[in-house]
Amino acid sequence: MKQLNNLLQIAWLYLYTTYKDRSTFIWGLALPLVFTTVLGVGIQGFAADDEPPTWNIAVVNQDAGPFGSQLIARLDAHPSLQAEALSQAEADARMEDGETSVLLQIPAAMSSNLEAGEPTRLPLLTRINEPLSAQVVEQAVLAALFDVSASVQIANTSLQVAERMDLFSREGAPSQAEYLQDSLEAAQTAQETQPITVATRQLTRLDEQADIPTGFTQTSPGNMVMFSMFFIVYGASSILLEREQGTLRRLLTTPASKLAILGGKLLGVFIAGVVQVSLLVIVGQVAFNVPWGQSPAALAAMIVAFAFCITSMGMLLAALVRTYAQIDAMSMMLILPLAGLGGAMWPIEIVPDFMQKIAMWLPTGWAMRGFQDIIIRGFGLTEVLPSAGMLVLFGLVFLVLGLWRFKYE
Amino acid sequence: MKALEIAFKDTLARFRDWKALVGMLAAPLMISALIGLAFGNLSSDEAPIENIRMALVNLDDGELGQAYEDVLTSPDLQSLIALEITEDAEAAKARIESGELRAVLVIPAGFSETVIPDNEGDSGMASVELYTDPAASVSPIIVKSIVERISASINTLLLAGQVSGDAIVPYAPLLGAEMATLGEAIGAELQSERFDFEELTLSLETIATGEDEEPFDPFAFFIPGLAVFFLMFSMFEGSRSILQEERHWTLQRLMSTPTPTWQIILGKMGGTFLTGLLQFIVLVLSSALLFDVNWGNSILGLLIIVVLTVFAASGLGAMLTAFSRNENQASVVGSAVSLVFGALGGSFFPTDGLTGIINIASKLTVNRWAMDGLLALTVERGGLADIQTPAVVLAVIGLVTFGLALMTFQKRFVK
Repeated sequence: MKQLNNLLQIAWLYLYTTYKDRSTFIWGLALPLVFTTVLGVGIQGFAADDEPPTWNIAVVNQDAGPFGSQLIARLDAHPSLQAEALSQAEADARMEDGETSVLLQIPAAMSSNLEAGEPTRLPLLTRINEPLSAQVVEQAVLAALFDVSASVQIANTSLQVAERMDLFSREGAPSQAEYLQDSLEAAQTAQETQPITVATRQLTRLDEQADIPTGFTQTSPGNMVMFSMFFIVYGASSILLEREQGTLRRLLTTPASKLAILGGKLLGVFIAGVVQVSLLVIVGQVAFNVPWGQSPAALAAMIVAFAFCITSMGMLLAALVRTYAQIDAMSMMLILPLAGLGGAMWPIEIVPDFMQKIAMWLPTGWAMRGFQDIIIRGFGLTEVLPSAGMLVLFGLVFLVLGLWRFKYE
Repeated sequence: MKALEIAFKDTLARFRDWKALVGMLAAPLMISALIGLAFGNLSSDEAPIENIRMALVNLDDGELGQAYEDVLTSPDLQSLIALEITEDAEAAKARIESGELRAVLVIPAGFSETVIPDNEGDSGMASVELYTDPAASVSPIIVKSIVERISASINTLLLAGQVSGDAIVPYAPLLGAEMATLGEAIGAELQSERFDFEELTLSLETIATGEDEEPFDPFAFFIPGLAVFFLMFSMFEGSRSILQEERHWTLQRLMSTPTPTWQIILGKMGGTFLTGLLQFIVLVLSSALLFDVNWGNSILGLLIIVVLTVFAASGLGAMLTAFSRNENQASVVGSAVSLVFGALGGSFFPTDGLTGIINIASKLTVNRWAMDGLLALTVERGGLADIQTPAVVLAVIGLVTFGLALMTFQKRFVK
């Protein structure tokens, strides 16, 4: 009982000195917020929160026939594209300035080729430094090209069928050109009601799935994970400072046991960690509309597991380095790669397979997964337990190793 | 000149300190290696996203469900899509939630029967269901495009039959008994070689602009960014050493010598500048050797931007340190400014997309102008003419901040 009291007092002391220091708020709150905002905007631009990403495509239409403008309309109707018809000079200028990253050229002969059933190749210029958007845009443009060439194909089929049935040799029959034109119009009308539709649905348990702002669902948990690691690891390693300044030795001469001293310190760091992460969660919800709050139980489990894991990691680091001065360099060497590999710096989806597998061997990978499962998939307590469990497991291993290797003198 | 002597001595001391070297050199190089691993696939000719894990649940017995399967397993899509075929839709959907799959396509039972016209020519409408992973932003768009294209192909086939029939009906009196062969004629036409719904008459020729240039090199973007980011840290840390010396009373001892105060301060600031310059040059050389980074074609241009970037960064570091009350405050302000400038100034992502107030804030940072200058050389392979604006802005920032720092330190130490 006495030792528990000592432990609690040491924890309280840590919290008191931490929150008396103004730099706590800069590191703990101000910086992560700036990063969340700037990177969130940087990833997603200023797109409205509920819109999927769209790309600008410049179109130079040299085709005088009907299909050129039809193609532009189809492109513009695609949800991922915003098409704009421009002169060659204007389009070149936009590509040069980087205002648009894709330029489609419609050759002069496209309409006549289509009518004759001849193939046409359309040059699509993409800016080399944006391969991801180029890939998405290419698929979307192909879909639009398909729509246009399909209407011609349907009309041609219709003409062939009539020929097969020997319609045009009969008295009172229309000319082939007339028949083709009628069929083309019928095809375009028919295309408006496609027999097969694709019903796409994001698989999430959140009620309003359109409300997820994609940029911030990455940067809110990402920066929270990264900055909390700095905050908590620095906190845990401050025990080294106490050792160097002699306050630890002084504490050891008191009746407080070693376990109570170290435990108290770690409890303080852990509580400060929970407060820190919770603050960032609240701000993420209020300022960036990230849906953190839909399962408080799941969130609480993840926050506690994460804070425990990182506190233990800090303890282990404190046990492995010799002096407090080394902490600066070591924590940077430890935390930045952990954040990057775990998916806190950029979406884990865009890295190669083997890198995605590496993430699942790191506490940051599980932290990001658990937090994102809550805000993106709408998971509840039971579903995030595996992620939280992995964090606790990492934490236990770090803690045992840390306590074992730590030198009090 | 005493100032030079002090500068050299300080520089040497910093490069002998391994902890300082970690921050100055090891950390940026290590993160560069990491970024190279993560984004390395962007630089090759291959599509940046491949092996999208997806499941097909085909509950349809007919030929159309089979058509989806055939296209999705075709050689064209083999590298893009890693498809598995399963029968349990709910289990497959659960695997999206567990992060194993990015998408699940469900073809409902009786799908072919619904949409293929019966003997009377009547047909209905149906949907295939595509479930995507909300945690992914790019691959669902790609999968959706592909599924929509397959659907569109089949729609074309169905509509071709429908339109062919509808178009000829008004001429039924001309055809008379021949009309009875309509179904046969449509069937024959749709199966003829001319009708290939996989073959597009319109196709794309994708051209990456500037073909004679090298493909996108993630290092050419991220390494300059990281170099500037970590330069800011070491410039603030270097400037702080003057306050540290004040605390240890070594500065006061130095001032009791006949060396004029301004020379001592200039020497200290010069030491930081020299350290930064060496740090940057070592990063340029080692990244060129280790990661094969091409720093552009203009060595003179690069030298100008590097010198001016270090000048501006060390000036800013000295100025903010001079304004700080004590070492601790300088440390907090320095780290905060380094991080915020890094985020705003484009050390982590291209500033192209920034607009409005964030873009203005970005232009207030040393990092932004340094990056504008460096990227003009590394990514765009420009020359001296392309770096004029950033060079001038950096020089002005450097002169103003250096001047203010010198004056403030003078006032502070000469009593």
